[in-house]
Amino acid sequence: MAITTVLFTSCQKYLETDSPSTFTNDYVFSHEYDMFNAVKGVYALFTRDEGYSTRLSYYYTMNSDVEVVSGSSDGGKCDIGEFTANTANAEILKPWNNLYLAINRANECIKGIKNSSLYTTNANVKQLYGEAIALRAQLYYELVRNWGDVPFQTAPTVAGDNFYMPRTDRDTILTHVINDLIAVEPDMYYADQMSEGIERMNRGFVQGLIARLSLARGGYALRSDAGTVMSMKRNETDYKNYYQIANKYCKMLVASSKHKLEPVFDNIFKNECKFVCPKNSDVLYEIAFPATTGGEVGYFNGIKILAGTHVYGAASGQVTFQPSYFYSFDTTDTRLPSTCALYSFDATLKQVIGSPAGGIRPAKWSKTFMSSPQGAASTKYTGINWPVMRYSDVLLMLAETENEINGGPTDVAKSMLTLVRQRAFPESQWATKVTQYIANASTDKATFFNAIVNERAWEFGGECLRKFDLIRWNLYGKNIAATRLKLIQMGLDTRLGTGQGTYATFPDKIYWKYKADNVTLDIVGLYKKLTVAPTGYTTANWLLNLANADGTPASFITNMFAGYPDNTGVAPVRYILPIHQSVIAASLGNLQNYYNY
Amino acid sequence: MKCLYKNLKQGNYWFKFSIPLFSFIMLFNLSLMAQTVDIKGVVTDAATKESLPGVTVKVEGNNLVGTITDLNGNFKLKLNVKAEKLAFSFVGYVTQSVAIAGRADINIALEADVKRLDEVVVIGYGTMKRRDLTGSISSVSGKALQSIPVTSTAQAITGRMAGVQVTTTDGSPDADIIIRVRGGGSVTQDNTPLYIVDGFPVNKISDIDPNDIGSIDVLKDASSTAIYGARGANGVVIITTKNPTGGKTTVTYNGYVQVKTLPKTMPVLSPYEFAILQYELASLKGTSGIAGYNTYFGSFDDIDIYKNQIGNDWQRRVFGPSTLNDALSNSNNFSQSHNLSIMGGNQVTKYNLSLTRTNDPGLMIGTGNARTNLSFRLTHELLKVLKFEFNTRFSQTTIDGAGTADYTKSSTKIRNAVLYRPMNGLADLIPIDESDLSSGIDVTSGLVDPVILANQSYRKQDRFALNLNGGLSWSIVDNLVARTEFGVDYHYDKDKWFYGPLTTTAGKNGNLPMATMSSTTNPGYRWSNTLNYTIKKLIKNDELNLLIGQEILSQHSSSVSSTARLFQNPAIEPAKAFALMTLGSQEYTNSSESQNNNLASFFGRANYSLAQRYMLTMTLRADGSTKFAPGHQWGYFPAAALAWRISDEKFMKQQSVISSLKVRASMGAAGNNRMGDDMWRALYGLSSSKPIGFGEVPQAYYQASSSVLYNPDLKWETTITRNGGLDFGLFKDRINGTVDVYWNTTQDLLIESTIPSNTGYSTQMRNIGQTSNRGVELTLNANIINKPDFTFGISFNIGFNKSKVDKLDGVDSKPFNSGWGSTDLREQDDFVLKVGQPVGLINGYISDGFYSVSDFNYNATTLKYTLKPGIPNDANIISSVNFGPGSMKLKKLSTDSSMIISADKDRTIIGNTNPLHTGGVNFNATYKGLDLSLFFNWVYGNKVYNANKIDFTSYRGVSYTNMLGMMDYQNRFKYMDLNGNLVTDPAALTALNKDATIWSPFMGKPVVTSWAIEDGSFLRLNNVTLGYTLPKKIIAKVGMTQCRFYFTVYNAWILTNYSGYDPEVSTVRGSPLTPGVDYSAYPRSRSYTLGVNLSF
Repeated sequence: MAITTVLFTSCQKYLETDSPSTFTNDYVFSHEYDMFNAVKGVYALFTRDEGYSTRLSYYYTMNSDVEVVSGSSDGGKCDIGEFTANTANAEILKPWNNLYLAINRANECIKGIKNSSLYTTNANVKQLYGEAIALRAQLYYELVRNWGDVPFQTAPTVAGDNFYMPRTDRDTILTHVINDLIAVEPDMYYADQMSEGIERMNRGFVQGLIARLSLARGGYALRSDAGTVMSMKRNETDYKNYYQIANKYCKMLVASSKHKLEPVFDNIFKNECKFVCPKNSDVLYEIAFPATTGGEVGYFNGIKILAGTHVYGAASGQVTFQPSYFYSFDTTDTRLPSTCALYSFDATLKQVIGSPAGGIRPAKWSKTFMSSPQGAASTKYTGINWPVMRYSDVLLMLAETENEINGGPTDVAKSMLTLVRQRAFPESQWATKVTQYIANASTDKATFFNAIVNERAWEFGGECLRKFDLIRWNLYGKNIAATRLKLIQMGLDTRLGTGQGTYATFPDKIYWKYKADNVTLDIVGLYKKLTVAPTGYTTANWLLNLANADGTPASFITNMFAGYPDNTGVAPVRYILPIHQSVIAASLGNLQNYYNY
Repeated sequence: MKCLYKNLKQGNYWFKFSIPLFSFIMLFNLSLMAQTVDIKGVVTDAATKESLPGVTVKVEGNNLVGTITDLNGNFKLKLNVKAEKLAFSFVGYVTQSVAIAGRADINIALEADVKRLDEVVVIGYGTMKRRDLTGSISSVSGKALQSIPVTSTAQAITGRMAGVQVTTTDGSPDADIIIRVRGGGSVTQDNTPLYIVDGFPVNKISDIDPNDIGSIDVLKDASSTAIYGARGANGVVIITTKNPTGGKTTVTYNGYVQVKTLPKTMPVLSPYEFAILQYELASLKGTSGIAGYNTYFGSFDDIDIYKNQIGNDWQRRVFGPSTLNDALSNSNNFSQSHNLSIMGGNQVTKYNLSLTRTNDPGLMIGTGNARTNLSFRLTHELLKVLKFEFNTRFSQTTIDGAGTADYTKSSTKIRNAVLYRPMNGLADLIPIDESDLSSGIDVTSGLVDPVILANQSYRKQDRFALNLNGGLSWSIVDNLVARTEFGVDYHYDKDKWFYGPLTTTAGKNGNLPMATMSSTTNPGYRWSNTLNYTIKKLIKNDELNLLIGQEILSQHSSSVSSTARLFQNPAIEPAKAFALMTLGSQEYTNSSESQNNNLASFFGRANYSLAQRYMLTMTLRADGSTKFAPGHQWGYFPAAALAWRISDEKFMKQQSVISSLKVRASMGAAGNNRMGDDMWRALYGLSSSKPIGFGEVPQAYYQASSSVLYNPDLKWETTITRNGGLDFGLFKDRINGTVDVYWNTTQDLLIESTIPSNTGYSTQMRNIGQTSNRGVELTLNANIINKPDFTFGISFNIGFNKSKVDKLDGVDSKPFNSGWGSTDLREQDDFVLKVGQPVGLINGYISDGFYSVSDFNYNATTLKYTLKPGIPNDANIISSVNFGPGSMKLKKLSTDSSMIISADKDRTIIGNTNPLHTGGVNFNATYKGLDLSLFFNWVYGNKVYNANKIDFTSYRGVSYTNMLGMMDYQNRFKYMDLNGNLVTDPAALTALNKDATIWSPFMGKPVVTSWAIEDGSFLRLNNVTLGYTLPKKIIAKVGMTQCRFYFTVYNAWILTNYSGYDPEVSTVRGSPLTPGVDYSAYPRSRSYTLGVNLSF
């Protein structure tokens, strides 16, 4: 008997083994350093392709009156941009899975840190807790803005759970995460209190995030009643409360004086390309991509570069601007040259003129600005950080909410817009472009609102905020219908050359030559149609590219909003993505696709 | 004597004591000598009349007295006069017992043992005579292996056993071998059988020297595998190394030299065709395209200059010689193998020592494989009742080259050699100032010189394996044997990758070299104790054999890897980089330790036979494994089998046709626990993959230790097998064979079951679902002619297997990605798993040729073609540069109103990668000293997914790359006439393409269509061997007992319709669910071998 017992015990012991390379939950959440490592596990998922390297930042934020992704009908990103994605789209599955993977990791951190004895005593641990909450909020923001109502998971998954969750209304989700943020905000560090600064979610960013999420909660969104009838709606009973919350937290950040605008607009992005991250400047939070494994800022989003023997390697430059966006800028606006590049680089790094139909690209970032270029064969994963929110965004949100709450622009609202425009224009222009401009825009609530709509386009071009701004304002349909008509007209007027139409004076062609350095382009005729090429200049087709020889619109125009044929702008845009068919299948009937998918 | 005296004086007590003992022994011996007789004689082969060396001659009933015949078959013995009988035994001959009857000369002829049914079969923790078997076991004896040299153990089994399918994944010297016993039941887990080498379970058999193999036995049904319980579900391959037989010391040398050739290359476009293709593409792209063409290839008017140019044959340059002559012309192409073994000993101690060195330079440049094996085996009788055994195997393998199949890590891809431009255009013809011209072309085409690249994709693997086993058997009383075995196993593998400046990996690091080295250590030990008891005549004329045992097995793995990037000197030698890793960037050192993977087991087996005609085997094993949560650790695996030897019944004695006949039936359960560690509990691990980069420094982070959600309820996967068999022999067993019918059901499948991903996981490991395999196997051997000077025999085997997924995790079908084309592939979910269907179905579009001009309306003003209504539109799928007539056309399968081809509605199953049957046939003939053997094997009825073909015929977004020859001007749909003018007019375009057979290659993305799914059936003359053995009389003069020369051609001939390099291929092995994909596989070689077998 005794022998049997001994045998059995030793046998049991023999079958209980642990790997030194793994940790238990208790171990991970018993020390500040290990908790940070767990939180880094959430951040890490941002750097994936299906995170912010391309999908969440670019594929899901096209197309609008500002940014447009070039190409068409690819079963992936272009279909998403053109509102023609179907449930088998190649780019909707991995991001969904990655977002929920990150949410589960954040949930583990939230629970683990909260239950730790260090939580009550250690300020660093409270910051980590706040970060986990903020990370989760950002992740849910991505889910609800792209898919609408989604399953809402607030506790870490354990083996015995019921995995089959229905959708939760997006208002419920947003309210929940906004309240979470409000609760942790006071316990978090500002960027300058941490060595990693704006590369970690910090108090200033969280204040801005509360505002951004509140405006999304208080704004319009596409709803699908009975699963098929679509309309743009907002919660009319409480939407203003959320403008109040946004207003409060924007003010709080401004009052903290922790951030101020970078005086030179261009420097914000040059800094990113040079891996410089000032802690009290424009950027509140940016995604810390490590070179060679993450980030396509400067590659997918930036000036196009052909590979050659030069050290910068290729850049695909697939984010492009609408030509109408280029022409919407005031020509003295310093943001224009920093935002729009009319050229790409050839294999010898000479500038080459682009076409307005998909050849104008963000000039904010380029691999050629990098101080440590990655080599001739390098492609994506530049390591350039992606700005998630800037201080000027908070200033403009403050101006917008002031205007909305008070039924017209207040002094605060006007001063916020002034700050943004003063940075944009040279001081010599302030009298007209800032003071006069704002005075003209401040006649009533609607005019001022319109000024905010325009200002946000000029300030954030290429930063891919436009689509969701237009959606929350319920301007998306109207805006893209107008853009399409405008482009068609531009093409028609310039291609046929009859001198008719609104855009008859716009240039059908432009003229270029190389400057003395034999690298940089000197372009003339952009704003004034010339009939004869100036001496020494080469002719390039310009706006006439927007139309075919017979005056019909170029495929660039007919493709970009293919899934939104309404030219009146009245119909709601089906911007909500389908849930991938394999997710629907795995839900065993608990999830369905609405919106006529 | 001086010493003796000294010892006595010093009063050495031991010595004092030993003297009487010594004297006693002397006396005893003397007394024996006094009563002895001398006996001598010659032992010969009854058939050939040749003398037989090495025959054991013993006095019956006294194992201590005996001898072994010498080279000429002579023996001499001194015997006690009382001895009555002598026993003569030799491997492969019927043991004879002869009464001495006072004779001094005993000459005897031994009959060769043609009764295969009497061979000894290894059954796990013991052996059995084949005639007594109740289960289904296939075997290959060492003798069969000896006559043909094989470079790997897997080669030795290929095609030789019914129901055992061996696929060598590609032709590289280090190719992975996939062995499937009766299809394999698991859906998502590994279906590899359990490999047992001399009792020890091993992960791979590639490091075992084929020279050392005594026999290979494959246990196929549960009645035989159940003794391995938890791990037997996929069959058990038992390899037994050569057992020393003792006797006079023999020295054997086996050696060969070998050369290899590449039997087939894929035809590609000639320089002229290539230039035409480039110009057509350039014309379609417009002015900038033409400008690019002109820069590299000159004016189109001068295109004729390329007509006489001979293209670079990159496939030959990278993958080696095409003809035997070419191969022989360079001594670097020669492979060599030398094996020296010494065997000998006496009645008490027997040993066997074998040393092998094999050096195989590989077909592809920069690849090779060198291996040293040392094995030693010793048996020693400590006492008459106590036997000790020891064996050890050591192997050291060096593998050079990155190969081609691991295309995620290696830059060297088959596509590089096929697609790299056949000429450099103008640069070949006239001196050009711009030195970077060709590198510009390289960048645009995304390809670099494949020869240079192969040399820059440096990989070196060093593998060390040491296995030590000791065993002790104690015959406690008659028929009761206790045995204990203890073994340790130790593997140490080093893997070094170096990426030169031109590799894509270095390209991501500023074109500076990168080096990675990792090492893995896998120690393990095993201890088993068994008790074996035999009782005869329990009732009457019956026998019961009982085995009970216990075993523990522990395995562990630890690894360390480090990487250095940005070596500032691009020309640094790989060896320097590895020796000075600090020269590169500072990176994390990654290390990991597994848990101890432990298994505790208890098992028992009972064999009962009645009247030597009725046999029953029952087995039970209990296994406890650390893979499961406490409470679920133990699994119990019972099995039972029955056999009836009909031929031994009285009523069968009347006839003379059927010489042996046995029917068998068995049923049993075996298990599978092959899944990751700690799947039953939630743990965190550390990762540095795709990290966040605070301050541009990659930050390692914690994450769940598995991407599959844990499940505390996991238990063993169980396979139930039912087997019916018939063993028969006709005409005194001149023809014999085996038929087996089986039905295997695998339940509680360990599946990564899909769960909603809103949990943060896409899958959870669960025991769910069921698969089944049904099949028939037939093995036939015929000794057609068996004369002293002439023998001729055929052995044949064939296996049919049908697999089916019976149940899944609640869904009817699941998509899977083979992943060959990465995200470039238009539809990445190219495989599908369906309930009611086998594993390995390919999902894709049905090819419908190409669009004709008449499918379109033409607008003469805009020069545009628009598709006519009612014609399926696949423009969005193929993303053609120039969608219109000549574009690839896909079949519309759905009946909805839209004519747009869509990924979700217009794909179907376009191929099944499972064969209907596989088999082999071996012809053996000997005439005097000559021997000839032809071995064919085949696979029939499977489909191969020729991903190479898709890749090499679609021009996706690049320029200046070559294509397969089938895309030449004659065959393809073209938009340009030979004068370089684009043709758009419908009538002219129709006329230009009246003989076109294939679509225009200018499409944006590769698409998986039925066109690329090809019949993978083949019949291969796997090897042909001609040997000559010198007459014994001649070689005896120089002290030799055997001297044989042979010539073997491997992969001598193949009959197949498959268009790729070789139909026997399966390169994408991320999971067992996407078999049969041919992408970037290292081509299989043809080898010519000249060898010698010598014995002294």
